[in-house]
Amino acid sequence: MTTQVDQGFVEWMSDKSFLVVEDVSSSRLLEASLLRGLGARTVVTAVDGADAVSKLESGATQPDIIICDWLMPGLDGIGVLEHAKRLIPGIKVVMVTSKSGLEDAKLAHDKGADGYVAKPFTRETLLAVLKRLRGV
Amino acid sequence: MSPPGIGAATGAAEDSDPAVVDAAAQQDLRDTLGDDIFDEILDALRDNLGRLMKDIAEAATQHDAAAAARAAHALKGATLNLGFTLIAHHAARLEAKGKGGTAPAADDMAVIRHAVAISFPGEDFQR
Repeated sequence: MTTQVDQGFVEWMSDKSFLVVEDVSSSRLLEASLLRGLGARTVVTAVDGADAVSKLESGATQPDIIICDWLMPGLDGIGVLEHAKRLIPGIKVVMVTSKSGLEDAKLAHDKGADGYVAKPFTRETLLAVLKRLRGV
Repeated sequence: MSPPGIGAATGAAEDSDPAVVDAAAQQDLRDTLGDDIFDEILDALRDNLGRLMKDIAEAATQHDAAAAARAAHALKGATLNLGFTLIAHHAARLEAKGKGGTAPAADDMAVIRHAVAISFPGEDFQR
């Protein structure tokens, strides 16, 4: 079943800038495509944590929301989250992982994550977390 | 050649295994994204599969359990996202085994290769 989104949500999405951080290209493409399908106009991608931090530090992208894989080679998602929160006050970070334990969700929350999505990453799970970020 | 996923076999390989693919999830993604984008993502998955299967095989050869767990984790996430449930299932087993300190054995490699082979019939990811 596909949940319909209202015009207000689409406008909110179109006003936001997203950074997708994911080292596996098919998942990166999927996440960016689903964001665009929900109305996002500005979606930048990073191929790993180091690429994400480089783009954030250089100002190449100034996202409102980061969708970030947790386990990546080198700098992991928690590292990206910590950098992003230091660099851009108010930024929202959603952690994506194929871990499914409640302890992982709690750890993500304790580290300052604003949302948590367990794979499989679907339109519906993405929509649910984005609606929570929007606050309605 | 049949395209992978939709139209491919959907039955379980063994009694305890999940279906080869989650056809409903794949159709949902096709409907959501459109055929062109879905096929583009599938092509990206093919590239990932080749690389990750090679990484797992190398980790098995070198008895590197941690490297096997990392590659299996990436394989699990990528395939789970696109409804390739059997590969994801066996990748999860390899990941758990690797985290427990055991690198994939020959029979583990045979199982994961078989899962890939029946998920993408006629395609070769063992190069």
